[in-house]
Amino acid sequence: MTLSSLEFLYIFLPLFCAAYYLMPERGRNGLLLCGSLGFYVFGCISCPAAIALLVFLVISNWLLGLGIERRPRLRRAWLVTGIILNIGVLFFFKYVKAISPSALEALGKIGFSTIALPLGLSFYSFRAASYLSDVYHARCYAEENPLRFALWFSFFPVILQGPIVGYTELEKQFSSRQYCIENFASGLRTFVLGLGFKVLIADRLFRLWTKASELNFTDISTPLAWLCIVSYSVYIYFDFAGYSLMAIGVGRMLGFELPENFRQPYVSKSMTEFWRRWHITLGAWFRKYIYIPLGGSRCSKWRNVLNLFAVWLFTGIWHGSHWNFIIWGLGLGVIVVIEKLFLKKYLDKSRVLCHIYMALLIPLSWAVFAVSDMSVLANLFSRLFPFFSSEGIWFAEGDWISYLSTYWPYLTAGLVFCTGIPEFLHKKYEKTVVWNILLLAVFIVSVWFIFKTGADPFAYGNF
Amino acid sequence: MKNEKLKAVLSVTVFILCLCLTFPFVTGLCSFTSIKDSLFGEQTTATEDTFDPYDPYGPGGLFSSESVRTEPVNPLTDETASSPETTAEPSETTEAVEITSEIETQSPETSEVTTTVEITTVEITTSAPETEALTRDNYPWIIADADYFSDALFVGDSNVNGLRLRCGEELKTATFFAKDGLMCSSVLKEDTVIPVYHGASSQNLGDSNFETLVKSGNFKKFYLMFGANESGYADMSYVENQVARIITMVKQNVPDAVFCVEATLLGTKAWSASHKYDRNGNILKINTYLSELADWHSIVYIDANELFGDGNGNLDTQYSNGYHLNDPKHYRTWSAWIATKGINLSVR
Repeated sequence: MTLSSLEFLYIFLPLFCAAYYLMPERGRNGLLLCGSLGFYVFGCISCPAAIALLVFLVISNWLLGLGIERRPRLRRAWLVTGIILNIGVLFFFKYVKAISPSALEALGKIGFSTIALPLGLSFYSFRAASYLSDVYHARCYAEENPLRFALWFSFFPVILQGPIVGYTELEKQFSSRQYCIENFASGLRTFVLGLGFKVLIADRLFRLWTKASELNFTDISTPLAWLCIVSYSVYIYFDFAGYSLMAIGVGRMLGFELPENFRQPYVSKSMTEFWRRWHITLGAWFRKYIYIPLGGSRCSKWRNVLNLFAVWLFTGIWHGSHWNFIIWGLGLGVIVVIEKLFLKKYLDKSRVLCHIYMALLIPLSWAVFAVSDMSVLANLFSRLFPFFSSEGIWFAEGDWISYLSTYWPYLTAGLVFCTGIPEFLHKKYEKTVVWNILLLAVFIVSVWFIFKTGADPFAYGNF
Repeated sequence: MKNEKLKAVLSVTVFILCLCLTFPFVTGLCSFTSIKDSLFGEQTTATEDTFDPYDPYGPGGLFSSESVRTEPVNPLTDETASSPETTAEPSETTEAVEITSEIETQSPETSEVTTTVEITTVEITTSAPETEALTRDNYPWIIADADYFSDALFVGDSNVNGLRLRCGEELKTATFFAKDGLMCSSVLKEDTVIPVYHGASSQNLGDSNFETLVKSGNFKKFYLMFGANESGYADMSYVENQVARIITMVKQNVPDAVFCVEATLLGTKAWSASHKYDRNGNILKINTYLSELADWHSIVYIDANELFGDGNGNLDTQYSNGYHLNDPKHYRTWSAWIATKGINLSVR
């Protein structure tokens, strides 16, 4: 079950909201905990060991937090243990397939999936590590109530794909939050907007990518290769931004304010700015827990460069275990360093060149991100830049016309909406009748698509 | 403030109403078709609109009493449902033979000789020599060449479309009526008009529907491949019925047509597991049903999963990233393999 599945839309969400608002206020946290665990269990029904792993990490991190606060002499040791536990578990599951296929097989026998990570592991392990660090640095108190801690850990709108919400951000809202019909309606509208992004744009363009990449890009023309990576760029944005909006919407329906995770990244003038607008909570996590502890920018220039490379290397590693993610991360690191050293000031001043620069860099960087097999990636780049290969531009004549004729509405809508127009209109006209009718139509059409074609898995859920 | 509250209440109420109204459709409790029937009345008598001229169970249809059907083949074990060694009953012929005998008798008193003719009818039964029925195991395939495929029409979905784009030399003279997402139930529809190509060619021979192609008389060999898009249905035998309709229709127009029913390709294990239902399991069921169509005279059945399967009911990951084949050379391998399974017209 995901936020865009029919089970969630028609069964879980309506029933949960009804029970939530019928419940007296003092019992709502308990209901939230039950609902969150139920949501996770339903999502992991085929991998029961993932549920056990979640419970284990909840208990371990709760105890470690208390240990850090109550055992000052051993607090560093508790922190290190906690970081190793959370990050270690994450990297074990990410890299076990690459390191030891027999270990992967053994994991399969005890109830884990041999294909995908335990649901939400990448996100909740980072949140757990951030909690222990915050307790260590006295940015927050260790939670004494295990049920409240479990609720924060497993909070269902954010457990699968973020936003990566720190303990301090939600802790106050667990104690008191505002309930009003206006917030509920606003949350519902935001949720539907996110659903439309995901189902009507992202899922449609994903089919273009999967279809064209079927033969590992061996027989596509250069225009189609570029069409593919542009489509992928649009797909990944609307898939992830759509999910984030849905999470924020559901949170608001339940009285929570969750942090913004995307801020029109595709209008950025530089890659540095892009990554301050894209997956904002992940960037904030890396800045707060990796970049600043390493020294950040308050050190020598070359140390700063090293710190940046370290952050981008970790970013690549977090996203996946294949070499393309490392290349992608380090490549972005190189671009960010170059911008920091001299390029950014020119980009910030320019009006057109910066957008041309980003229009080329964004799809190319996503191309490296999207293809895990290095030989297939080489095929793709040989199609993108045919001057360096023996095949010409028009390897398969007219193939891009065929794809464009099918997908142009979704691609056009995606490229236009990347500029932030829907969010702007949503903010301005959210409460008008016309906008509400439009959102209703978005909901009905989205449900029709989900029903007809099945819900495509969220892209970032694989990380 | 009151206005804001009212708008919010209205928004939420309308959304809940929308959820309630769409709930029956989403859960399958009702469908637009059933609503249309209940509004406009269900038709209980057969009319021209409901009569199916290609009904495989109708007169002359593939499943009618005059057709011969074989036992279904299990694609995993290649065993037929009954004993693998099926031998046809030797046919017997009974002939009535008249034996005429003349008996002469002489009367002792008169010495007169009387000839009596007796005609005796004797039934003589002769058995025909025993012949082995054709099955998948003993079918005398021929090696097909470009000339063989010049009157062949390949019909199917994205698998066939992929084959069309990347086939080898042998299929370049074949004609392809294929489109991504083409369902077996859409083939016979008049408005299913799609571009037609020769193998490995991007030159459109013209848009056409299937009926026009069949009635042109240019094709005698029909290669049919469906099932990938239908593997989400509840009833897998639906594909068999639809393919049988296609065969019935073709036979009505081209009586001496021969058919090769191709098993649909499986997907990788990961691809199948990513679906809510057992996709590969459904494909295997469809293929079992499709194999029932083969009479091994004018209809044969081939299964390319022999080339690309992993032996456990999935596509081998070296050949695919999920569902379709992932390298043009695999399509050429498939194309060359099809050429080794030419339909033997002498046993039609």
